[in-house]
Amino acid sequence: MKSQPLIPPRDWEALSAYLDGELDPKQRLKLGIRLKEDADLRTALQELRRTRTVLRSQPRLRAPRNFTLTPQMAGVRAKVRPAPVGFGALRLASVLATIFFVIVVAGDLVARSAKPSIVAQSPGVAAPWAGGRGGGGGGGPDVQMKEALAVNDATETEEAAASAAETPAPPAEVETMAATPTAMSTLTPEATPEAALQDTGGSTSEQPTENREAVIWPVLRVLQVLLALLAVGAGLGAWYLRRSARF
Amino acid sequence: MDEPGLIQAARGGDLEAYNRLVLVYQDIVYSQAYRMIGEAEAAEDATQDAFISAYRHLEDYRGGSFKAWLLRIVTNACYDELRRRKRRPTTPLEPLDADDEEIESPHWIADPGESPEEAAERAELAKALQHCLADLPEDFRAVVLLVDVQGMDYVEASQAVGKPLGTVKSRLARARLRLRDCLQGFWELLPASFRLVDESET
Repeated sequence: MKSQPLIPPRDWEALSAYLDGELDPKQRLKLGIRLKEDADLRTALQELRRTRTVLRSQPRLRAPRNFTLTPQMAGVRAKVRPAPVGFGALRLASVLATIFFVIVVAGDLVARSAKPSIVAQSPGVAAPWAGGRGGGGGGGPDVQMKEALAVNDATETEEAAASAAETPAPPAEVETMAATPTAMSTLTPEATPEAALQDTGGSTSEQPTENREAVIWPVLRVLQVLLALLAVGAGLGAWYLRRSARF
Repeated sequence: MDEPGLIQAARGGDLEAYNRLVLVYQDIVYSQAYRMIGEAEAAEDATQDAFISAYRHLEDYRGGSFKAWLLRIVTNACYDELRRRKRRPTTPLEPLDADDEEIESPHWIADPGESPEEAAERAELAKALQHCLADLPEDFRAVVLLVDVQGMDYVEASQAVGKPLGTVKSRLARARLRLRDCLQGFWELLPASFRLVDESET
């Protein structure tokens, strides 16, 4: 085995700094002269250089993953920016439009579902109102349904009262029909609502109601569409404002 | 890269700016941690801890080399990990291959451009060097890694370890001497170009 040259620690330190060019010029010159004269010192320097070369030859390792920090890791909360102008108004408009849309659609559905049930329950239910207009019986299930929907309307009541004054039907008969719908069963085929309508000229008094409903239903449809558009449009607008404010 | 600008922005709480610095320095920091500790998972933990700590203490950064400042933090994180290991020793787990055999060197150490023989020699040398580094006192190891592996000058290394220049010189010389002794049996693993260094630089 090769014997190691005996070099004092101070010289090792000087040789190490000499390798790295960290000696001041005076020390460097002095050590240079000694290196020319001392073979052991030269050997020691060569071995140090080789050791340093091996260390420097080691590749820099690549990080196996990214070490970027998340807000949680950094212990900070993500900055909350103020909501953009108009965001609140659009959000409120969207919510309100949605609520009204639901109410309108629900009311429409209820009215539609109530229509056949009223008719199915008894044709005579509508008869009193129809009778109030002349005892015509409403001119069929459709007309009766439409009149049932309009029963809450005050003007409708007034009209009915006015019509009742014109009708030639006996008040007693009207009262009996209103109080007991089963009394309709006592009517003869000739006294069916259709027949009564024909008799009393009820078709002429039905015309304003039909006209009004012909106006109301399209308006309702338009209202539903407008509310739906408003709800979706305002919602999208609010979403866009919030999203664009994040970047 | 506008490093001072990114540091300033990060100080103001801009995490995105800080993460750009992380991406620049993560290889250097991880490399230091791995060679200090000698185990990949622990080195990852130390690296992550160092970046978190650095972000939280950006106010303490007084200018100068940001790299040296980061390496000081990761070196201290490695000291903490090594002390913890001394209190609770664990058996390091080497990665296993398909046959449940230990992989001597993780795949990312290997250079894909090398021949199998060269790769094997390099892997052996890297393993030997890591073994010798592990035998060094921690303070010596930190200095020799900073100067000879990370390529810092003495002043930067002095900043990174927080010790005077004379201490760095002394530790570096003694670390090199010990490594020289430790690597005596592995010189045959050196490529021919390494063996010719002596003659060319004398």
